[in-house]
Amino acid sequence: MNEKEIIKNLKKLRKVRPEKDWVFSNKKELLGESLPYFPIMNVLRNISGNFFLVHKFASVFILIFASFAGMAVYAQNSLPGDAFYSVKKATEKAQFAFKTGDEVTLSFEVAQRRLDDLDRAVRTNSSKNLAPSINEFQATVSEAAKSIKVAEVKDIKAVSKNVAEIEERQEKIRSLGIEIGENKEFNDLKQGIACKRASELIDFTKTRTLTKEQEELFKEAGELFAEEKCTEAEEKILFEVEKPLEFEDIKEDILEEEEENEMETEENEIEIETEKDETEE
Amino acid sequence: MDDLKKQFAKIYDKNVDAIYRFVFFKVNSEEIAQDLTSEAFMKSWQVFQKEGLKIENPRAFVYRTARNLVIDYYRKKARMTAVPIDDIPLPEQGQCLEEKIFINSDFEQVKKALQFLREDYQSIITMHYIEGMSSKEISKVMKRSEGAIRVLLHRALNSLKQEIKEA
Repeated sequence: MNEKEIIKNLKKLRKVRPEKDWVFSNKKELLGESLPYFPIMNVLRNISGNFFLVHKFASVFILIFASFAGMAVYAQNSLPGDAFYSVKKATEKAQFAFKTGDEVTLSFEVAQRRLDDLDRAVRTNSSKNLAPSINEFQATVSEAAKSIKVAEVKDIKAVSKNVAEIEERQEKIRSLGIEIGENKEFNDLKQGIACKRASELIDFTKTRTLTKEQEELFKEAGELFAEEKCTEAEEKILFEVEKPLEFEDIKEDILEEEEENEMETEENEIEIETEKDETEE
Repeated sequence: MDDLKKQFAKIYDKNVDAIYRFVFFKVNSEEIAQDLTSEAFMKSWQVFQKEGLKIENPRAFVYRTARNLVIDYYRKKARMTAVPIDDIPLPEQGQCLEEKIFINSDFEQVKKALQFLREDYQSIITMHYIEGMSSKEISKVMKRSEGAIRVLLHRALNSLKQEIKEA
């Protein structure tokens, strides 16, 4: 091996290096470098060249974060028409993004919240917030109603319950002399629900045995349903077709029970009498 | 104080690998090499804090400290180990298998030969051929004249060649 080859082999030894972790930790121990593993802090340190500036940056970040958090909490009490109401809506949107539950329930929950706002605007007699609160409520209800496709709803009872709750609260506010106005989308939804329920009721009633009188009433209900008078059709079946049917059933049941009871008492009397005769003998 | 720290941090970053190698080739242990390298930088930093810019060549100063620590270490151990490069993995080569075998055998020969060199020959070969330091700089580490370093380097290389021939 000549001199050149020896030197070449010696140069290969340059590849020997200490572990990087040890290099960092040793430097930290040696010079008391407090932030060697946070790249962002190192970047800031390089930019500033002044360690105190890093702390200033951190303080500013904390201050900004705290301001946002404080603003979000303060905004929770705001009403439509207030300066911070948009913050409240934004935080609410973020909250709902993380909420679990079906879309229908969540839509109604938002509508209920807008009713809370409206309710508060009415109770505090805040004329500044009243009109924007009504508009917000109507817009939210329209959105909720549009998002619900009645034909695809599986639990029609749950939707009906939510709609009834909103309607009840609306009526309460109206009774205070506040004009909320009518909402086309919400009325459409109510109509859709009523038609679906009427359709289910018609299907169920078809499976039952009806008297002639009931059949006629049921036919009338069918005609109302065809005319899209779903609520009337539903009421007709519930209060006119079904009610007598149930009453008749109950009446028959009561008569049967009475007859059975009479027969039992008679049998008992006969038994007692025969026992008496036997003892006398 | 912050300026001094920054300056020494730069010295550390620039030289820690070389000092570690310098020590590692002599002690043949990763742990001991780490300990002695740490100590070398620690002692240098202590002096640097007192003397600061009065230290003409901080790199040479750290090398000298490391070298003294290694010598002390062996004095305490009462024995001198030859060049400790048994566990060094070979760098990846782009050659065919036959060439690799040839290179490996050459490398082994150089490695074994180095083990039998005197400590000052080991130091001078490490500093000059592995780390690429000039005679002037080595003269500051070893506290000898540049002429003496050149002569020492010539002798060290001849000694290495001789060892390889005899192997």
